[in-house]
Amino acid sequence: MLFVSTSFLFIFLPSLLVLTWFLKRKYFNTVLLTGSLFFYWIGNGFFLLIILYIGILLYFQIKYDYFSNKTTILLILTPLLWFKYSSFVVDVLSKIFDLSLSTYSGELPLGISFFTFQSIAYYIDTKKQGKNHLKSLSEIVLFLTFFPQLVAGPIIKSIDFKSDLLKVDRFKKDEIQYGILRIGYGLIKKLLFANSLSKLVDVQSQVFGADISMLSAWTIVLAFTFQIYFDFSGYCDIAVGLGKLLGFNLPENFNFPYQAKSFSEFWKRWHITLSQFFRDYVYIPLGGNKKGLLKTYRNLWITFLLTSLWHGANYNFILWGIVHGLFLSIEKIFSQSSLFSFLFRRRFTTFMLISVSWVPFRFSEFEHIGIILKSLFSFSFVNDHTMALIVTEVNLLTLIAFIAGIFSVIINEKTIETFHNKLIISKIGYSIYIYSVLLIGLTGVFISEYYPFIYFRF
Amino acid sequence: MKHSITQIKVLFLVILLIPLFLTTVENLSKREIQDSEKKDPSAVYEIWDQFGNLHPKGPFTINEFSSIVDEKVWFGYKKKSSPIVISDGLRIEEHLITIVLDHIESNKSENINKSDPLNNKFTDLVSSLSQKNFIEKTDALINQSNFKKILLKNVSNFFWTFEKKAENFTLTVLNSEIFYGKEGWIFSKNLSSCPSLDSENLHKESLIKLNSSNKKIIILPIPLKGQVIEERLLPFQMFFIKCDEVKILNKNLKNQADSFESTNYIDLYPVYSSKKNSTYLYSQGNTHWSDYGLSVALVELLSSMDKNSINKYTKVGLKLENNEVLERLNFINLDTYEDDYLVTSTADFSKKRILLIRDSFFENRNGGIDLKSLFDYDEIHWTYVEKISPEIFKLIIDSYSIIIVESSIENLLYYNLNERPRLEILSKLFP
Repeated sequence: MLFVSTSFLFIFLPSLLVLTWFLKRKYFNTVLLTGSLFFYWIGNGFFLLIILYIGILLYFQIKYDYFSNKTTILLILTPLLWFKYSSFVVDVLSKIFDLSLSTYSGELPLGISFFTFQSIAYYIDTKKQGKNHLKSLSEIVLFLTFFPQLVAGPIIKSIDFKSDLLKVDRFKKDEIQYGILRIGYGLIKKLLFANSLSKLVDVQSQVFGADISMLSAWTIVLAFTFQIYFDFSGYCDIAVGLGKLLGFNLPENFNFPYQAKSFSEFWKRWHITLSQFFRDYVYIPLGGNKKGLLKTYRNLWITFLLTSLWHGANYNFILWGIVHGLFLSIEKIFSQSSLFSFLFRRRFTTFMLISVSWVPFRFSEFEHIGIILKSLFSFSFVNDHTMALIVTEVNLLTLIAFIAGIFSVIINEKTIETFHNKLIISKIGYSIYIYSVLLIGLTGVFISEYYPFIYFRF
Repeated sequence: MKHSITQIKVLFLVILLIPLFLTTVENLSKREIQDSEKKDPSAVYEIWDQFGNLHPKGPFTINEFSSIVDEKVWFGYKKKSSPIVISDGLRIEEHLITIVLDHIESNKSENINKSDPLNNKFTDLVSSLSQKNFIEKTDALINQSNFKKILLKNVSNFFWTFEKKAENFTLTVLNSEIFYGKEGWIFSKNLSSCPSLDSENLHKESLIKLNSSNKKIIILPIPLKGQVIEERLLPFQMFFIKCDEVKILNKNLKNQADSFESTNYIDLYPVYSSKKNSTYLYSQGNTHWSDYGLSVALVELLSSMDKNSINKYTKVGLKLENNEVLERLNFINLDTYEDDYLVTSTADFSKKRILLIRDSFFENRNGGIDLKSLFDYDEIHWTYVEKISPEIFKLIIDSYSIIIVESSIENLLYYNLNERPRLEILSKLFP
């Protein structure tokens, strides 16, 4: 079930909220667990067994310590490796050794990357701290299947989850209002902004091989830059909002990423929980930046190779990771240079470079990536087929979405915070604002065509 | 404080439950059968899906039919013992339909087997146990409800109000197949651009091959609305959509066909260009032609079929404009009127057997009824032509002496979704 589907918003969610809000506290965990299991099962059938397998593995391993840490992590990773990476590995091996191998090539279990990483984090934290926050099997399964963040994060830590689970005063007026507002924001971002921008981006797939001017190429690249931000941050807004409605404080995954003044700052603002995961469980265990310059770069490149592979088992994602690794390395090399800082540590420059770096993320064929990148700097301003198609897709929503995207770059985050703080002062005004946002978002459910979230693929 | 939280919770739940409530109420109330269908309760109907497959349990009475259409989207239907009509399909002799459908059906099952990536046992097991159908059904409950339609209609009308007044920017939020020009005039998104063409040589061989058959073939490509009604495009749209290459290519093909004996090619661009100042050749809310545009094209077609005939159109009054595309896609009702024309001809085709290979311009609602009033013909839709083999095609066309080929110009000459141009497809079907 997608968060923006009618079956989720108008049937599953209200049913679950009625039960969690109005039943006695002692039933809360059971209702939430049942709801979360149902949520995953109804969309993914018996792929649910994968989560249950990991849950049972974690429960018994932490309790009885059957396997070594490395074996345990490998066992946790096994479903991910099989379902997501086996076909890529087989493809690579087949090409190198001219073999004819076959492997799994079907549908990817939804959210497998997220719940696998969350499990690894939980296991390592438990081992490292010597303290298990999740005592029972049902708590572990609930931690892994908690539906607001199950399919695309944010990745949560067991200690935070447990402390929210134990809350006595679970439902607070302000939190619920804020949750409703975030759901409204998320629906608007995803359904009205991201989906309408996607039409501009999708234009290119219709005309690869045809001419494309510099203006068309930049329109497509910027449209995708804003689309992916609205798409994923919209999903995270809904996830955070759902968490608030159930009394959970899910971590923020985005903090105005396009306002970053460097690539390293970008990764502190974009998909924050994933960055933190790779920092805490890959980069730092490898030695981080404490073991000399050479090892620092090695660690950085390993981290980015894994980050890129996490996004997808395909060459284009590796290229995308290489681009980011390269820019991060350059930033580190010139970190002491004031001239470099003056020229490149700027919001606009960083934004433009990040926009260009999305090209290999969006287009899987190297030939297509080459066409777009070449066109971006071709200085060709002729009328082209692509622009004509883009023109036919321009409407009020795409214009608003584009302007909202530009605002996300130029409007200072503090200005937005001040706007919110002022809104809260007037209680009636705040309520009107919340429900207006929600209703606009819900209208989007009906007027938007079906487009799944981009990050659900991962 | 507690009371306040409860209020917020209840209000939120009420908002979320409104769609479900309204849809449930709607589904509980008895579904109304249209008046026209009520007239003949004993009539029985065959039902077809989008692949042309008959419903295995048919024929149905009208009451049974109402319940059947809820289960699946059925493509068309015919009244038992009436002439065979599939709403967007074909109208040819029954034995030919069987041949076509059998062929398409066998191709379809082959394609399904070929394209199915889930071919290992574990995946089959997982897929068979998936519950996605349940979600689809639940989503469909609300998505196909009148509640949604009413909501969309209101949103559409809201934006339509602005759309009509927009001078420099298009304001709609609900366009999927069309885009808006000035004052809410709609245009098709098909070929809203101008690809580079080899206008000297493109399709020359196809025309030669068509001409080598022993049939009289008349090709009628319909110009794109955006390239005829340019004055209703917004400035930035006009800049990109203007396309002289299309006109040059069309002219070249017409010149080439003029030297042929059995193949005629009608170039409507210059004809439309000379008529465009008198009245609109296309309707405001339709990407197809207006009654005037149709009448002009019919006169050209009749003259091409019989060079000695005298053909003319006469204005006979007013009729409700066909704004069907806008109404279908955006739920807006436009009760505007257009000039009504009557086409008359001295040509007599009663002894000829005519087959029309058609797109949507000669659908009944867009021009098919007018064409049928001029001469009798059988018809087959491009959807079928694009799927059948040369052998099947030969079986179908054998008994016809005249073949009219109607298609929108972009599909005929450039591309048809991801397929080859239709002119190329057609020429390859001929021996």
